Amino acid sequence: MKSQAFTPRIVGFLCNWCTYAAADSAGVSRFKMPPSVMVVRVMCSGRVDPLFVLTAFFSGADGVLISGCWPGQCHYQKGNLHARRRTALLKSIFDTLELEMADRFRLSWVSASEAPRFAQVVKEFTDQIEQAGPSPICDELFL
Amino acid sequence: MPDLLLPVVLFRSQDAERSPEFYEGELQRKGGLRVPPNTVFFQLGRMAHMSVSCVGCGMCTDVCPADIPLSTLFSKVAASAQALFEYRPGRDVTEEIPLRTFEEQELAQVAT
Repeated sequence: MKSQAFTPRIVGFLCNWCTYAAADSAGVSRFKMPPSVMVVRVMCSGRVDPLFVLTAFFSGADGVLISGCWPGQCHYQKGNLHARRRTALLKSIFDTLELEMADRFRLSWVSASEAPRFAQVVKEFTDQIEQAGPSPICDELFL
Repeated sequence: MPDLLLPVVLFRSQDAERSPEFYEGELQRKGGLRVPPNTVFFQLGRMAHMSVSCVGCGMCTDVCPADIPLSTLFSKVAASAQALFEYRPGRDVTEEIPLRTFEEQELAQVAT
């Protein structure tokens, strides 16, 4: 039994042009959200390789959030559409193998002007991970 | 004319090989380490790269030194991945592999 309350560690891959700006704006506007997301700023959600997500999980992340511009609003025209395909593939792999990671992985579109939405996504996702508990992967010796 | 050879993404050594600091960190964090490390990571990474192109040849089972029926597992994952993109490897050489292309309107349920 853990005496302390569980605080999820979520790795957030945020797109520089949309979600990172939204996160910044959410901070400046002092929206309340749990301090659970560790932000990795990427230039585009399309930069996020499935291996980044796996590395995050195997290094002890309880959840992984990929967030970028809405489809059609990508700074590089099509990066987020590639990200969507990769996420779909990775999700289908997790689902087929019935891995725990399936419920700990989320892709969200948050544009630069949607600071309240960013706060809400972080809150929802953190609640979801809190329900699921700590990731069993990080302490597993034989992975 | 697209490339006839599929752009198979292989693991570059920097993804598969680790520095001494990595081993040190893992030992400190977990108190132990499996050697070689990252075997599950490798297999999942391989699935992410290759499952849409898998034709179920069974070679992975043939070469497995531990006699793990990898091909069974791989085919299952490949079937669902290929169904997701409605893709069949080898159907048409001019067809792009799913991860190199996209459609504007698709997979709306993936992003929440």
